[in-house]
Amino acid sequence: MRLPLSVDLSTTPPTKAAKVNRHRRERWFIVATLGPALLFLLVYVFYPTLDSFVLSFFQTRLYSKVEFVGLQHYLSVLSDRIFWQALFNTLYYAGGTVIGTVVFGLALALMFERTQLGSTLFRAGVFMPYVIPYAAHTLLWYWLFDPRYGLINIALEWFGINPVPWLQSRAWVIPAFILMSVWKRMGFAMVIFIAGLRAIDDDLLEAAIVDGAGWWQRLWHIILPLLKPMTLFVAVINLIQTLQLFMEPFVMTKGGPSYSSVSIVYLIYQQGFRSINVGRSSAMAVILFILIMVLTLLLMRSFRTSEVQ
Amino acid sequence: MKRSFTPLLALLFLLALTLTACQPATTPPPPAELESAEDSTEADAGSTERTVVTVWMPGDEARWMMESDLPARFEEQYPQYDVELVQFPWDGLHDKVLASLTGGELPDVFLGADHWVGEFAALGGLEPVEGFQAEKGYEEDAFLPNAWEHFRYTDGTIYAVPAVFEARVLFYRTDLLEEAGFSAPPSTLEELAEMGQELSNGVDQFGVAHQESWLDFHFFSWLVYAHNGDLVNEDGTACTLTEPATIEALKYYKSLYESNIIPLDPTKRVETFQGFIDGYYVMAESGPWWLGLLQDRSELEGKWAATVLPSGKTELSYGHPNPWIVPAGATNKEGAFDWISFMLQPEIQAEWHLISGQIPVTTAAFEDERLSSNENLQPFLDSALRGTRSLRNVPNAEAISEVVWNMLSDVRDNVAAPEQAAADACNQINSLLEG
Repeated sequence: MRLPLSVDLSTTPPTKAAKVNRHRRERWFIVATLGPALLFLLVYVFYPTLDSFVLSFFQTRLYSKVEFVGLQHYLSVLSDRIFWQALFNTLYYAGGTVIGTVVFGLALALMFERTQLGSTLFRAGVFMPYVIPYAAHTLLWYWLFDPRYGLINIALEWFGINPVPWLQSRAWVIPAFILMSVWKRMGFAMVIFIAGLRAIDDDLLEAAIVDGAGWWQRLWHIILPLLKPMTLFVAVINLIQTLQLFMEPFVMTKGGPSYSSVSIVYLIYQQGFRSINVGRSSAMAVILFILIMVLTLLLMRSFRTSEVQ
Repeated sequence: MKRSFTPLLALLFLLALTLTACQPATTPPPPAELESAEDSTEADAGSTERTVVTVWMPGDEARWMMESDLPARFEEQYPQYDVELVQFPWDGLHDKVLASLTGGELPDVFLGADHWVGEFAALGGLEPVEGFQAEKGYEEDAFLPNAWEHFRYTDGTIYAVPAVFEARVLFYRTDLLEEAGFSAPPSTLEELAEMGQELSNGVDQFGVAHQESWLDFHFFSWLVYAHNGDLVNEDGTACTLTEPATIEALKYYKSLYESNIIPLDPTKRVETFQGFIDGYYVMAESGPWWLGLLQDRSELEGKWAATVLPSGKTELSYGHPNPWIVPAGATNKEGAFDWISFMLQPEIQAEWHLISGQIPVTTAAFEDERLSSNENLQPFLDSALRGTRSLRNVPNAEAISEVVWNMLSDVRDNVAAPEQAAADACNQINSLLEG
């Protein structure tokens, strides 16, 4: 049979064998592209995580298991008052930073996006702290917080406010960490919220204006509900990062004054690399892992999206 | 699509679990293997081939060494070696050595902190040095007091060679002391308290500098030793912070803050060195690194001096040698010990002081004209000769020092009475001393 000069192949239905071949090829393509990333995760994330879990049941000598001790490390950690102090400090820091980052990030986004205040240069300037290396950022703030030579206390004195013992006081050390952390993170939050604000249909807002809704009502009833996915993203990312507080106590205060700035990760480091008690350190890491997982799930549940009417 | 990848993810998870369960225990190689490594090094030294001596050094010390001609002079004196010098930050060096002890690449020799010796010796990672000491004929009296004994571990073996000496002295502003009518710095703790009171106005001048974290721990250690106390007992198995002598030291420490000799108000506790430059602090306890820093400040020329720390019931103060350490798993131990013996030559010790400001550990080095004419070096030598002590050869020394400086914070800020704070600290320290 002679084929016509032109054949419309798109209307030719594929055979069953062709469909199976195509699916097989697609599957292998996905495995090939995901494989390296999964292998990386296996070697550098899953394996160390599971190894840490197993080590937490052993008394160790350096990194080798020596003696099975069951739940002894967990009982020891949970009965250590310094661990509970570290837990309190970490949760205080995480809560303050997440709330501060969301609030200031959103405020900056509203300011730059809705009122068109400032140029790209200002937005870049606000974002800049996010890209400063963490150790440099901590050293910078160490000097900003100096009680006599630091810029912050000098500025406070201009306004007639007494200098604050930022890193020398139990009451102020975690708020000091929160302040520097919010400064670093709010730029990234602002960028996320700007993207969310741009996705809001202007017709919705105009309709609200026509119906007599003021700025606050539009914010509370339209903008914030529509920004829930972005808010959840910012909150979850910052929660996971802030629960791993380490650099600030390590560089600035060594956990003082009097353990008021010690964090769980700082204790993990101290146990693992200073006391070389890797089993106990692993037990703390497992507890932190569970804490992050639980808090993240709770946060995500509390942000269940609902349709905006 | 989702369903077809669940088995893959499950397989990956099981693989991870299997790898974790099946990993072999890692232990340091047995002594026989170490001896054979040493033997092969000796064989190499006899041949014409040059072997590499890998030296790890921390921070500024590494930079000064790299900028100096000392490595080249070593290679000239020992033509069978090439020196490979590697720099690490202080904390990074400790963690790198620790990781390497599990089977990574070890240096042949490294310069460390004194309290690392007890920590690494407890893990079985260090080479004993008494054979080297005997072979080279190093007598105790050719070194500053306690230089070798400081590194004798609880098993009776010496595991490190003294490299330099760290002592603490009292730096003071001669101009401010003169203005206040004092012709000499304090020589006793009572005089320190009296003069400190006179020199402090509670606003912008204080008698003695406040210290932070590690430095506060060193400051308090001096007070403890001056009161004839100690932080742990002789064999390093029990905390002695609750002993009467140490409680007395703790009360003296607290009194310095209560009388505003050291700022009681936390907002007035400024950075120590800058405070000394500004005349905010008239006196400050510090170490040899201040010599280099002060010599760079021309505005202070002729306005400062140093003296031995005031004595109490004893003349003891805080101080200790810092060690050269040879890991048990080093591949070129002969090269390592040759490097150490080069660095212990009196001429080289003097050179190293001029380069780095670090205090020599051999007494002969102080006879070098360039050192004997430096009057600012004399207080360090005098301190070392009067006797020094530090927390030594115990496990978890860094964690113990953190417990102590957190205790100091509780005491000076009136969170706890000295006796209670000391008792709480001892509970933690005793469990840390168990290793």
